[in-house]
Amino acid sequence: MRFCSRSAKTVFLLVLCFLLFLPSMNLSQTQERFPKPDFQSGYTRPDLLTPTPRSQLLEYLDVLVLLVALALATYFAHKLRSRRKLFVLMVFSLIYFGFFRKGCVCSIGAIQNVGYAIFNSGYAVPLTVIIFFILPLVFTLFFGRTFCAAVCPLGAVQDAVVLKPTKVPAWLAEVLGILPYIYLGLAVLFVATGAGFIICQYDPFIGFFRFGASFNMMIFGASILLLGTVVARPYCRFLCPYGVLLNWMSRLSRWHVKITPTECNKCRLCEESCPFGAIKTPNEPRYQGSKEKTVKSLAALLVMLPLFIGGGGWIVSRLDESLSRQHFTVSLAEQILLEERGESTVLTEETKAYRASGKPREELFQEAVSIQEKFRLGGWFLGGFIGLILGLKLLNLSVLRRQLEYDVDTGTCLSCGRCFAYCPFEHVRLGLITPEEAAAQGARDPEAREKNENENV
Amino acid sequence: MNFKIEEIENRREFLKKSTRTLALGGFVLLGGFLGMRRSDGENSASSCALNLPCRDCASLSRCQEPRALPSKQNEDFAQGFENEKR
Ligand code: SF4
Repeated sequence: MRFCSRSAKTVFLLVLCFLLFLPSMNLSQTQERFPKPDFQSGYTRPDLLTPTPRSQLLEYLDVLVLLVALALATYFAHKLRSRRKLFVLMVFSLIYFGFFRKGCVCSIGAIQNVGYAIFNSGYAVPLTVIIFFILPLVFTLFFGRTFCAAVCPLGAVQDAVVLKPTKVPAWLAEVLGILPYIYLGLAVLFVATGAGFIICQYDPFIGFFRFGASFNMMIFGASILLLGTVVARPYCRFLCPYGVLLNWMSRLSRWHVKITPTECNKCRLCEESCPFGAIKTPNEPRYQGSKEKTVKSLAALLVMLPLFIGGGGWIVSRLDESLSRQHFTVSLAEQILLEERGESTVLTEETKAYRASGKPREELFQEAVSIQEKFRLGGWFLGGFIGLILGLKLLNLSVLRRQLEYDVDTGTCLSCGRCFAYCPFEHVRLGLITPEEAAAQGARDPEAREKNENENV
Repeated sequence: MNFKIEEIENRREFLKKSTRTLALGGFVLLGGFLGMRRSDGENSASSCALNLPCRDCASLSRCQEPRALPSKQNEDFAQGFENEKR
């Protein structure tokens, strides 16, 4: 109920801001420099979807806005503990980084530029892109994922449509939680082999930000937003490759938001407040007795870890043919081969253009073979990485950590501040109730009281 | 018992702190490495084998590649457009 009324406000605010900014967006639309040429062949050049480059000065302004937004998000989450202020900042980020800057440059896509620069010594990454990649990670390393809370436009657009979030079962969340690792691995493999920037290619929201995308991408984006009404931020939690890095950094964070500003009396009021399932509940005393079992399963998993890595590498390296087909050169070579064998009767624009260029066919095939080899080698690394993550996830599940009170899971918590208002001690901080009244909240809940008593014993 | 938990907590905190420092050092190195790359990233004619839009390349303004020309013109155009707006 609480989420519903809040989200209605959210949607209202979002639509309002969107309408307010609509006229100014026209000014920053993609510009055609010359009238489109009229081809004799009937070919029509598609509309430009990528924005024109900005002047250097304005790119530095973007960096400044990013820095200020990160600082404000951290201040609102940690110091003021204000969900409302975080929300306003989130709307601003959606408008600025999303609609005004058309989702480019973004920290998520910057993974590819950085990856490409690492694997291609001839590529120079723009300084702004380096900063957009590193700055949110450094902030997360100190303060948790405040970037996700109010600065990322992709997170903001999903957060705005959270209407009635349902809880994803823990096992399903764990399984789906592997997808971002696979996506990250694939994105790095694709940039390393020069096959393309798949994160940008399959960005579900860029079409909305730029008022134009292919029909399939529009459907993909709309489906994610629709799903986002009942499963909070599905892209952030189950796809975002940058989220993997943020998750790792956040686990190491020096300071992280907490549900309670002072103490936890296990009143359970916050238990269901997180739409992302990022709250850790105190665990049962029965865990104390199963130490021997835990050690055995840990040892077995540790032995199996190299098998996971090797097996994963072997499986993915077998996929080299189908993966390398995503590379333009390989698909062109395949198409030429099909046409030569008479298996494809229709000549494509690409093969026609290639033949017209006069480049020797052997050169193309050699290039295609070397790309395929790169995919095979990269497949070993990607598969090994996925196997390692699988093994580590299983290891993590078998370790029984003692959890004394309700707290956020620092890896998955997005520092959105939704849970703060559920804590009675937050109400004490705000001067709305007395400490005695807050303490009584715990005592009123029979289960919490029982848990408290057990704990004291 | 309490002493043991504290010991584990301390060990965990120490590990976290060390990894955090390592990560921070890694970012500084990565930023420095990629930043340095900028200055010697000038492409001479037909030396570029990059498979990405020229607008995403930091060498664009200095690049001599013919294929970079449209993007360079666009950048000049963007600059002129900004000036005009002002
Ligand atoms: S602050 Fe973290 S734990 Fe609290 S509701 Fe937001 S994501 Fe969940």
